Amino acid sequence: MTDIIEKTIEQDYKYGFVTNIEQETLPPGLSKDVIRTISKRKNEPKWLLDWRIKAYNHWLNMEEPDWAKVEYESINYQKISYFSAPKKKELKSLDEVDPELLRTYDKLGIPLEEQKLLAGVAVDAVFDSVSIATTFKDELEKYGVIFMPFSKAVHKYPELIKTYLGSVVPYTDNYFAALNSAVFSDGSFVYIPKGVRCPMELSTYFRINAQNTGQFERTLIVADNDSNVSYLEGCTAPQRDENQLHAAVVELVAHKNATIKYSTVQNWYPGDPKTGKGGIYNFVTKRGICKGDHSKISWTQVETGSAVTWKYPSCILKGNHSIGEFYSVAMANHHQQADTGTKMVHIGTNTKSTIISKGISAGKGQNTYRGEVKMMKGAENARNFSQCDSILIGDECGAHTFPYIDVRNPTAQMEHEATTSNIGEDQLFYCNQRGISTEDAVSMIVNGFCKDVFAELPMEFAMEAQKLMEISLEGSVG
Amino acid sequence: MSLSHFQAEFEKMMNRDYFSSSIHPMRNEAFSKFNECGFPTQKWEDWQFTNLTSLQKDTFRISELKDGPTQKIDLSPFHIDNVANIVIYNGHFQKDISHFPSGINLMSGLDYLESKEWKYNNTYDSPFDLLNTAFMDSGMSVVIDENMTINTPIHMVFISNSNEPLMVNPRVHIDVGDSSSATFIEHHVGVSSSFFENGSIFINLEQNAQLNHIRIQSNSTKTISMANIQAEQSLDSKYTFFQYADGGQLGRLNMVTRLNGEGADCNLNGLALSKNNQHLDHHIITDHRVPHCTSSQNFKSILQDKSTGVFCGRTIVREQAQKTDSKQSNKNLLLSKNALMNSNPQLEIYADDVKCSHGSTTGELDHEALFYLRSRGIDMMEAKNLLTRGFANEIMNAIRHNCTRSFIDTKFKHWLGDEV
Repeated sequence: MTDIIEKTIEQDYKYGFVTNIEQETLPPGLSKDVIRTISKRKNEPKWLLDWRIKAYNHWLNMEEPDWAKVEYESINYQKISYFSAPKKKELKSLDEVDPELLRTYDKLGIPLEEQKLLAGVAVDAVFDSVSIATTFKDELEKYGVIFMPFSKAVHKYPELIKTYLGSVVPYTDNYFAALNSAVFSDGSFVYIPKGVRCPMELSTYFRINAQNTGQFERTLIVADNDSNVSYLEGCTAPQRDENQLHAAVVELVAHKNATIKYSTVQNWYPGDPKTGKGGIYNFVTKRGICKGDHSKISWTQVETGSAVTWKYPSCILKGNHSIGEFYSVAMANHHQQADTGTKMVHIGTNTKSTIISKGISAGKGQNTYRGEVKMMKGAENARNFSQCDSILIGDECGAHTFPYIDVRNPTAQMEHEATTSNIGEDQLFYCNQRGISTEDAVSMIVNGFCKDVFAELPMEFAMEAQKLMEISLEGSVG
Repeated sequence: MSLSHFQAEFEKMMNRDYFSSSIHPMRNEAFSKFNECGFPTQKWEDWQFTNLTSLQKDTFRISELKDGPTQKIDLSPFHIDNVANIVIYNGHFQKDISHFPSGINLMSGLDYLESKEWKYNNTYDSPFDLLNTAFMDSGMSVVIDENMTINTPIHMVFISNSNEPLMVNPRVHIDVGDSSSATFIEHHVGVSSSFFENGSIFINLEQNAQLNHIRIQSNSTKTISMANIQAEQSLDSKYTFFQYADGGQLGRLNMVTRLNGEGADCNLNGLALSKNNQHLDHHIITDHRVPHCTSSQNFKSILQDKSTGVFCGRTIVREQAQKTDSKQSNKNLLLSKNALMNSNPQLEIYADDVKCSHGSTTGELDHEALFYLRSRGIDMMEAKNLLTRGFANEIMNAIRHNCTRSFIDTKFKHWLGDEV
């Protein structure tokens, strides 16, 4: 049995390769000048630069938080380069894209060309800060859907950006959100007009490539009245020795009757399996607001990568009858540490939220669920159901659950339940007895364990997620 | 109460001639540690829901001899049948009305500490434990030798009665020897105006020992009550705890139980009833350090008016503690629109072959259940009472002493009659 565990632990990172493309990178360091340079390079209007500077000034007065149950070497913010872009720009078609870059995507399994034809997914690929190829533009334009890199949207739709930027996650929100607001490089902007059901699933692919660059992207999705959108985000990063910082901000705004579904598969480099050296620090602020009545925001995440994950996709349920959902599978193997969960803030009446969190710890991994459910005074008849289950594989890992529950309204009902267990010998025996190998049995049990969450993922992601779990868990037995 | 005021009181304490000076180094050390960490603020993770400004507003002085009783103490309101009373009035032991069952060895806390060469189990230094060590009164220690079964429960009554803001720091050590068993009831009552009670209890259970610990916190509603309980459990020992709390303006229970011997069992229960502006707080840590132990935490709160409640339970399962079986449950009933409950049931697990679960629910009385009762001719008040009592009953069953159970039942009914 230990053999099998060791085999799993020794599994190498599949996506650890470096693309040799000439990059235009700013020297490491953070100052007002660096922010001005970023802003200038991107030709930003003055109000945005002012906003960045305000955020930077605020950040200077903040202290790095340390309450999460993770341990990592402290980050030297002056050693990070805050801007990095592939040199070639302004491409008209995919053919003009650097072939090396396309090969990278092929290795990652997102062939743009093929996806264009087959999958019906419009991909806005963010490759170290600058979006290089966007597909299915025309199709989306027909419906009036705006899906473009953030830097373009700032010029084309300044009013929309001005209205919504920082409206859900203000730059004063937390340390990493402030840092992101000051230096964010690019990201995606999505606007779904009134009454439109987005004809396809929107998708971006983030990747950190250049050494010592932090990725600070910003995503803003606005769904106007009666609209509907599903957004996919995938992440992988190549193998690097030094820890890289990823501090993204995602803001979602759902107006009356609108639905936003945001799905993430995160598979960043988790660090060296044996020593735990390197790997990505994934400190992300994700928050959505259900502004209008009957709106709905649903977060689904599969977190298998990163050395340290620190992320709490949240919903503010402001509109009456609005719904917030959070489905998560978090896996911590080797030396990975994950402190993740969600926050549901019930403000409107008859608001509902569901939290399903599945944590899997293996090797020396530490997995923490930390979630908050808040029922404010006005949240009449609000309802919450939370379920947080953990599986432990191997005897050196840890699983922790820290739910915070605040109820200020007696008509609100909330339930939280959690279990922690390993894969039972009897379960394995049962499968073995029926001719299923131990490896298959574990994979089956874990997949079954995560089924509630995988079922929420869009087709393309569900396949990928299942595969990812299988790869990282092959043969693990508790 | 500012730190400088504590300093002044501390000097007063050190100058008291009726305490042996051999305790001074220990007090000094604790007080300087307390000064270092200062008062908890709401920025501390463990104190984020508990506002201590009321404690800092008043200037409490330590209890003097003159604060002893001026007339005969009437024990009838606190009377429980079939127990041995030990009475402590404003921090002063009342020998003439105290009795204790045979078989136990009652000594002052200082004698006890001296016999232990000033060493006691204290690996968890909370600010209020430190404050207690710095200011502790002569204290009570209950030592039970091996193979003793103490049938009569020890009923320790802590009475507070003062018109001035007083601070008392009762300190109790309980040592239960190999294969012995006992029941310990601590009962906190009072009619004081402003009062600050900061009690620490250290419990040590030897191999196969059993302790049934019941705590009744019915302080005056102007009392700030801090209870710090630490229990160490050896092989096959069994510790059962039940707290009934309906008093205090601010009542907080900081409890740490450590399972150090295989086969140890720890069963913690609590019922908190709050109304008006009361704030009742449970902070419970169960630390599984060895394999094959079982534990449960089962806490309920019923909240009225503008009262607030906190449950923060943490079960830690260390790497070696395989085959742990632990349960954690927190259920809360909100009877008012303005009540607030913070529930924070935590699991921290480092071992893989364990069974751990936790659950938390918060809500109001079930409308359908109310309707069911009313449709059968039971009026609204009575229906609410019935359901609330039903909610509390589950946890009351953990009281393993019939006379105490009926005493608490009466108290609970009284509380309900007043409020629901």
